[in-house]
Amino acid sequence: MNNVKLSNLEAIGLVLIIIINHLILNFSKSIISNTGSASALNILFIGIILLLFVQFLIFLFKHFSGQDILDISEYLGGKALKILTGILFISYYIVFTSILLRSFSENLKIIYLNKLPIIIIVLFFIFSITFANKLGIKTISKVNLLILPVILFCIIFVFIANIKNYDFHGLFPLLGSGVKQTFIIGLSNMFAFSSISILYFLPPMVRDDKSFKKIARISTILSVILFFFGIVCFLSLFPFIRNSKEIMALYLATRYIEFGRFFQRLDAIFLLVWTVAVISYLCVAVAFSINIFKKISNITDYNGILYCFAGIIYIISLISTDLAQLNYIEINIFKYVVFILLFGYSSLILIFANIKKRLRGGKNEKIT
Amino acid sequence: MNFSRLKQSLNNLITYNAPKDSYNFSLNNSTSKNITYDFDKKVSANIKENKEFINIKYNTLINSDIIIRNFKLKSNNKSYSAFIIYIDGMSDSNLINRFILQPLMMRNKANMYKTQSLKTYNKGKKVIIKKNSNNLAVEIENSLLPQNSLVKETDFNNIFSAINMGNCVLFVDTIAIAFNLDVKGFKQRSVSTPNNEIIIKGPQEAFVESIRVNTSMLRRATNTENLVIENVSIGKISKTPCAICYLKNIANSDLVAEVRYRLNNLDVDSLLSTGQLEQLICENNKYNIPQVISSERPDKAAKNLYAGRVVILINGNPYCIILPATFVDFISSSEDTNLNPIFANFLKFLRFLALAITLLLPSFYIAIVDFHQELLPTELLFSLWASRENVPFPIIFELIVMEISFELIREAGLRVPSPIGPTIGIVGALVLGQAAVSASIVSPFLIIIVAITGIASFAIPDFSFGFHLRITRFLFTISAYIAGFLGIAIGLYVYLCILCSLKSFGVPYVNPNSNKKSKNFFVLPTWMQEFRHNYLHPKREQAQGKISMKWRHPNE
Amino acid sequence: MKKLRKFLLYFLVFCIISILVFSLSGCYSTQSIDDLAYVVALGIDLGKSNNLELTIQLTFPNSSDSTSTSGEAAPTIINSVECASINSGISLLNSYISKEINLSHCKVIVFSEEIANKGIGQEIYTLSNQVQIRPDCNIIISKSSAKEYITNSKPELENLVAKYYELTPYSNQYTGHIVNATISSFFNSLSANYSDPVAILGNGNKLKLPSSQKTTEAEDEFNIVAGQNPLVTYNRESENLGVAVFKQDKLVGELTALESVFHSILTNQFESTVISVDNPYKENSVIDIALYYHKDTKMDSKLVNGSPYVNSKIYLNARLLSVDKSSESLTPNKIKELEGLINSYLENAILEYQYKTAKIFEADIDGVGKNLIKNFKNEKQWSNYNWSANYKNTFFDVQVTTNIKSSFLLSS
Repeated sequence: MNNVKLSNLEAIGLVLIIIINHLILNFSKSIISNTGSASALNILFIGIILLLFVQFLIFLFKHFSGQDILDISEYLGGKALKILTGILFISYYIVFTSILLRSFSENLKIIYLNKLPIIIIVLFFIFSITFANKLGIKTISKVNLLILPVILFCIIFVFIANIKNYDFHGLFPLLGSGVKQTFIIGLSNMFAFSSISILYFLPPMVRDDKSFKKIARISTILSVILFFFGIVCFLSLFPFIRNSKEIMALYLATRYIEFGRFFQRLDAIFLLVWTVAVISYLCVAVAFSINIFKKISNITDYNGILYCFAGIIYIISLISTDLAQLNYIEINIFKYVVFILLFGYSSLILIFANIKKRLRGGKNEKIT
Repeated sequence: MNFSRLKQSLNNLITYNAPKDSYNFSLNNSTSKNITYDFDKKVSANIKENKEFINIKYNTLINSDIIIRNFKLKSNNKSYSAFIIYIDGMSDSNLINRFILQPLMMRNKANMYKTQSLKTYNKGKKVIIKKNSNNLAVEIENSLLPQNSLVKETDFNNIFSAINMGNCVLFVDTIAIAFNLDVKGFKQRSVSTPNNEIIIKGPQEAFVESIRVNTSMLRRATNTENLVIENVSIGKISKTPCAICYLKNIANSDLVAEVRYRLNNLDVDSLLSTGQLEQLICENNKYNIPQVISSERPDKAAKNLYAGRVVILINGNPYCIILPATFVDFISSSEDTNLNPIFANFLKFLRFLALAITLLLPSFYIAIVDFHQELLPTELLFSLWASRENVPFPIIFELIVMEISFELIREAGLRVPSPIGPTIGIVGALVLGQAAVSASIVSPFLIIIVAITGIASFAIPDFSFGFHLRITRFLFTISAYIAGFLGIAIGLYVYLCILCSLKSFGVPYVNPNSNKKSKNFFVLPTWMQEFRHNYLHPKREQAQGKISMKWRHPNE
Repeated sequence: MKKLRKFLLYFLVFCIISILVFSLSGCYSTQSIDDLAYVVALGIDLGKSNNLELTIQLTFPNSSDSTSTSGEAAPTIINSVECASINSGISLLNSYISKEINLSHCKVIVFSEEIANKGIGQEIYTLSNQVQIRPDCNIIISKSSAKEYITNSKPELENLVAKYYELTPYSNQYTGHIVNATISSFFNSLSANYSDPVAILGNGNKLKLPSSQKTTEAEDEFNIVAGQNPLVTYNRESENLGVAVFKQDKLVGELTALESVFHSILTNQFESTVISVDNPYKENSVIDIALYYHKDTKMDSKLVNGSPYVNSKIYLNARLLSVDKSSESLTPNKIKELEGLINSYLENAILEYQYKTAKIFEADIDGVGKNLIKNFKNEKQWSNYNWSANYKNTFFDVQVTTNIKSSFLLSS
């Protein structure tokens, strides 16, 4: 799989699909409950920080062209660090994939499949994940790129079609719950952009350093824009969003769309699109964890691993008993794990590897 | 009478009867031994040996259409025993009589005198042609057979395939050479308008069964010396002549090599149709998605040749295979380039819509009616509800029954003799539908859904792709029945995955972004088709100049 | 043999999966259109023996009717039940009705005045939480009982009662006498801490109202609410006119048809209406003026000495409707004069209306609080300010700008 080369658009698509799913699966809700009416401001602020961070990442990756975080950690700390990094990322992907899968399934159950047992709803997803992953990451990224315009169009359509329901007073008071809450505690809202985890594994898959830079920058900017508009849309649509716990805000927003008296209840159609988006996201996450596993274990046939991962996701997604637990995990644990793993651990590895490189720089050593 | 029969039957009951002979034939392994085919036999100088071998091979005693004509051949005033062999009905007997038998058997100048004394007058000068009088073969070739196509054969393999194609072969005593004479004269269909790929604007001729006619049509349509028509014969027994056609200065040579490789490595006894070959050369037949185009139009083939594709012709088939093919090719018609690009794109969009309807409309109906009733406007819901009030069946059953009966009507309409063909359509569609509705067996809504789906499936230009969609829509229907839009979403995703994973001769079946220079889905105006599709990696990327209408910009 | 065994294995697996899938999912989750009964209107009254009296209206168009198109209205069924809550009422009704009740095509939810006075917050929250209830479902507060309202709602021009319910609120586009209050807007205003909800005011039984309430003064032609409609002949006893005003979830008052117009002007829902102004040039006659939307109303709120001050700038287009001899002399000056007349009339009426909402109802239904929120830095300050208690201290100022555009078809 390492010789798979993705085109720039495909790679950007991989990052965007994750952001879109965070939007669909109500991460915006957690952000709003954290920073209130100042969330839009907060996202702008975070966006700038994120852009700087990504720029920093690009700088760190510059000396390791064509290598992902696994190779770099091997360079820094040998096989052991490589395996540790791999396992951390795999468990991150697997656990949160399954949690998101479960929460989406629960939402589907609430919306229309209220008599279908959750076991079966999840099973449908597991089936499609397994099938798609058998066909390889290239296929997945291609399909992803095919459906991405449709999904993006639908999201923008939701934003635009609701325009007459907007009430921009929802964005006030401007500072929400205060300066400190917005700019310092609000930093934890960075977790919504966990999509940059993909960037750590992209370098070997893209054509060269230049396209990696391009991909990283464009995808980050697009993510920030998308999230910003999402937040503004939700804040001005739902005055209640700040202090209530509801299911997918994007779904609720689709319920408000109406064109004349005939096109009034389009939410089910959007549900179809969101479902496709979620499947795509799950497939991408599993494909990446398989990719990592392949890299740390040097196996060639990944079908067995695929079944294992699918099984693990199935089991983990069924562990929690209700939505409240899921919400708790999403809001409280996910945030910190993302922060520590993506923004802390990984960048530390990169920094130390760079220092090591700098120290040995004179010797012009070949990187393993 | 009756009494005696009764008596007999009573007798039969009581007395012992020998067991009846029942006709009990079952097909097992052949009881007769296999004749070992000695294929590497060469032509012998002894004519009897040759004739015996041919007799065995062709089973001339029981094979009625193999004609062997024995005669004495005269040359240099000597006579040799000789025979010709041909297949009755495949060869032109007039040609054989006049240009083979007559010069060989009749006394004439050419065969009366010895070659040494033969004088030819050439512009008044006396020229002595030096000839080896012993070389009968040369003598026959040079002066006895006034034929343009004469091949000297020594291998019986070639001889048999020549005879099978309608040639006539001459064997002469004392020489270990046979003469393969082209006297093909079988009846064949003349070039006519295409039956299945009808277009309005554009050439109106179609391929026929004969490969030579087909290659000639390709040659005429492309009109370039760069067109290479390579001969390949496929099938260990049938030896079907096939042709790989490509433009040598455009088509990617790796692609051509791959096609040649695949065609040369087929272990089949016979190959009779393009359909068989399609299955034999595609990488992935699991999902019944067609991966090569088959067309009966020489102009379409020529257009694709110029795009850098490879065309395969098979003798005996009025269809050619064009490869590699991508998804978009199956919803584009050969008319697209002949029309104003706006019309063409509109039609293309319409066909894409037809594709979506064929694939998804029944499943959407199921999903909406069974799961998402809120999607319907209230008035529509109530009229749907009212129409279904007296229908006893569940919707899924109703739908599948109607879909299957629609397919039945379509199949039956194909099979019945053509004069009553339209009747089936009318009886099936109108009478049956009307009766079913008024008997409250199906709802009128469902008839509309099934009919729209049917009509849409006719709008798909490619037959096998349309077939594929018709089959796949049942899977979508079932998945919609299982979980509504969730089922459809999963079906769609999996279907897209399958499409994206396919490759047709190394070209991705769906290539959303590989083409920056020339658009894939939409038809560009003719003057903007500057580049060939780069997923084919042709040798000449540029199909026209940057400014194709130079008369408008004379100074650039 | 090996192949056969493999095939059998696959076949078996396929059979098991398909049986599992069909038996587990198909019959579990399918809600076939045949098995559902669609509620078009939901009525909620105060119960006699229990908390609530729930009324549902179902409709079932006959297939025999649909083919012959007799034009007769589709029959409806009305069922009521006394229950503790909405959901328990629905499940009680479910045990009575042969098909499963589905609310996804419910067009209106009718509350009686009594229950609205007590507060309908819980009911609104319950209904908003129902996936089946659409956000665009209208909320009507009936002055009679909800059951009466639903019983007397008979479509006249439509076949389906659902269409009647759906079309009626749209009359606000050309009359402005009601608002298109949906459950989503109601819920949004209810859940926000800066606004109060409104609903459509309806009445289901005209005959029972005392006739003394009816006013016949020409000037107050539109100063009426549902139940006072001077319509003389009618087949249907239910009607919608005016707006029900809530303070949080409790009904505190009603707006007349004219006040509803002002409400929709201030909340930018206004499209057009007709008002009558006293004719300054002629005794005992009125000028009819059609008002049209021109620009969004600009509401500017400030905190002056701790109490809110609201300045609204209203822009309207107008057209003279009534023609008499005096229209001969329509000159630019006269048009100016008329504009001034209309402006001052509207300014006075709107100010009166605004003070009414502030002083009498104390309910911020015009979104003043939303505007004021800009002046606060963060949410804590805002919630400390306690808007719902402070609204009554608001000062209002209104400027109306009316442009009289083209007027007549015929002009003498």
